[in-house]
Amino acid sequence: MLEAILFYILAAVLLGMGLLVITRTNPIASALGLVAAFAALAALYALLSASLVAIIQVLVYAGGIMVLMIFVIMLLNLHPDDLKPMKAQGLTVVSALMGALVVLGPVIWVLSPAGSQPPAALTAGFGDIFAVGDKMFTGYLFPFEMLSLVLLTAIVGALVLAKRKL
Amino acid sequence: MDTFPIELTALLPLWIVVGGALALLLLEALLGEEGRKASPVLAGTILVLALGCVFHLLSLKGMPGSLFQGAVVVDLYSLTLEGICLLSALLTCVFSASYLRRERAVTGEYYALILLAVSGMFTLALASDFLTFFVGLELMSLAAYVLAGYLRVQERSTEAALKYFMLGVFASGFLLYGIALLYGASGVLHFPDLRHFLEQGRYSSPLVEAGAALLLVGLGFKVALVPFHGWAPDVYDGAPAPVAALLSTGVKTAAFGAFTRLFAEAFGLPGNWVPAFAVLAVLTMTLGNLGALGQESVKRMLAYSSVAQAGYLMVGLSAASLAPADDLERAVAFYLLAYTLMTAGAFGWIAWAAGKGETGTGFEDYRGLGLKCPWMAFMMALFMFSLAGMTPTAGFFGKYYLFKLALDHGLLGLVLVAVLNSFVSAYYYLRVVVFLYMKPVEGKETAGLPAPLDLRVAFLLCGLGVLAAGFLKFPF
Repeated sequence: MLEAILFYILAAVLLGMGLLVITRTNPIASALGLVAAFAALAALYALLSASLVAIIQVLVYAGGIMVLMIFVIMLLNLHPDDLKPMKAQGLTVVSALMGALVVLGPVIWVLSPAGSQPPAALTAGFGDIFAVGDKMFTGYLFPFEMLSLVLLTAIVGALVLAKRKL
Repeated sequence: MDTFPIELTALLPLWIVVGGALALLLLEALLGEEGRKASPVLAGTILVLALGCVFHLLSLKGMPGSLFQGAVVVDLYSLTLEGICLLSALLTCVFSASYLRRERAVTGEYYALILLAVSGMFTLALASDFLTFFVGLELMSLAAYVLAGYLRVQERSTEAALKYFMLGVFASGFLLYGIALLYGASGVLHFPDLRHFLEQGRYSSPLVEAGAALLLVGLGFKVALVPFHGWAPDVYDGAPAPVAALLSTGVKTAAFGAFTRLFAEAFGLPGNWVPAFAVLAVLTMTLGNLGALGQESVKRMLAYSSVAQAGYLMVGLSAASLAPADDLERAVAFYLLAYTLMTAGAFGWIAWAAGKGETGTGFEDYRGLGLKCPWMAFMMALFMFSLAGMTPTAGFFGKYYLFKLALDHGLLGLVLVAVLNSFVSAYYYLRVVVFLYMKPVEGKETAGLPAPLDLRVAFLLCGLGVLAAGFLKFPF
């Protein structure tokens, strides 16, 4: 019962903050909304017994990624006149609705009586750092190591495209 | 080799390419200007070494099969795809060397990025679970975005990179959501496990269909199927010509190869996918060919032709749920080999013939080149004949195997549309030949373009491949 109440409170915060992100014209307000949304998401993960993912969410997203975003906002240094509210055009609205349908359709189906499945029992140590580490370095070792190359490519690529003098 | 763990030996081509990419990145830092000059040669050597490894592995008796607890699978199909990707990258390196010299572009990290893209292609070709598949796709795409915009002083190159990046990221979103839905429905990530799960028939959930459809959309973007092809002409046309060769051959080979494995091995259920694939095939062939008909630039024509060629592959793929996975993978791999030889050759030829800044890409610019540079013009004519699917060339045999596969499984109507489309495509391919040989030169006489030796050798190999591939014993 307590879990359900917590879930609905956190979900409401997440949705509200998500709306804040896309409706505010002031980028800093949007960024702060995003921080709150990330925090609510982390709490939701914790509610699902995924403690490690919750911590990573706070550290990486609410911490690292957000600092990066604030820096970008600061460096762009937009003038208040540039920040006019966007007018939604017909095509934008239609595409947004279609996109929402694609995303929401399966979610609604899962929540409906036909699609819902009984929750599976959790294994011992589910979601803690040992379980995740075990998976990462056994079954998913290969994709995990290849990810380091993805990061390397991203760094090298960003430098190649952005460096002032090659 | 028995003393080494199998993970080391069976994936040796991948480790060579990854190590080579890291070495190239360090080279410039350690050796400076000297390292910069050596990088094309070093990149070529690494690729040749990896190609040798692939041939050695192909000649072994048994295949290593699945490794890393099923994350990757080393079999004839994945090794063949690796070979094709290496071929494409090798040709790109040769075309790039003289191209970058001419454009006075700094080589810098160019060759390292090509090798990183190749490691992504390998990961994709080897992938046997969704995680590896996605990581490989992202690795390959990231390197490809940067390569497309490598000449950043040119507006068209930057525009190409931005379009490619935006739509590529969008497509990745579709793919990831599709994978998430499939995982949610089945709880497995390995392709064979998913197939096992589907064969049991216990699932009664539209999540599987929705996930597979999203995967189809995402992959459709990546391999430029109509109606998801909007970016392709602009990107292939705007990217530097040698990079366009890599994007339209190596990148497409890996993506199509994994696409085929996914739908042949994970979703290989009878009858499920024929209508969806057939519609995509017809749309892609027809609109690709119609787009190519009206072009005045040969490079842009080749971009549309690349879309149309993906349509022919889809004809074969329509039989994915009917034919045995082995037959399908053979036919697709052979077509990809033929396609890589002729398309990479054609883009490389444009890189050479278009002149500084790629100003001369129109049909008119190649007027009478057949007399001025008979050797190079003959090569281009050969590639065009092959792309049009004329008899003795690889292009003909590639189409033959694909269409035969579709015919054997009762897709007569689809094959008829494909053959008609082939006839239409002959018009614009042969138009290049007409301009090369049959149009007199107007105005003042211009000197022929010089062709460096490395280019001549690369074209000779491409040409020989186009002529010989069809007469090899049926692929692997």
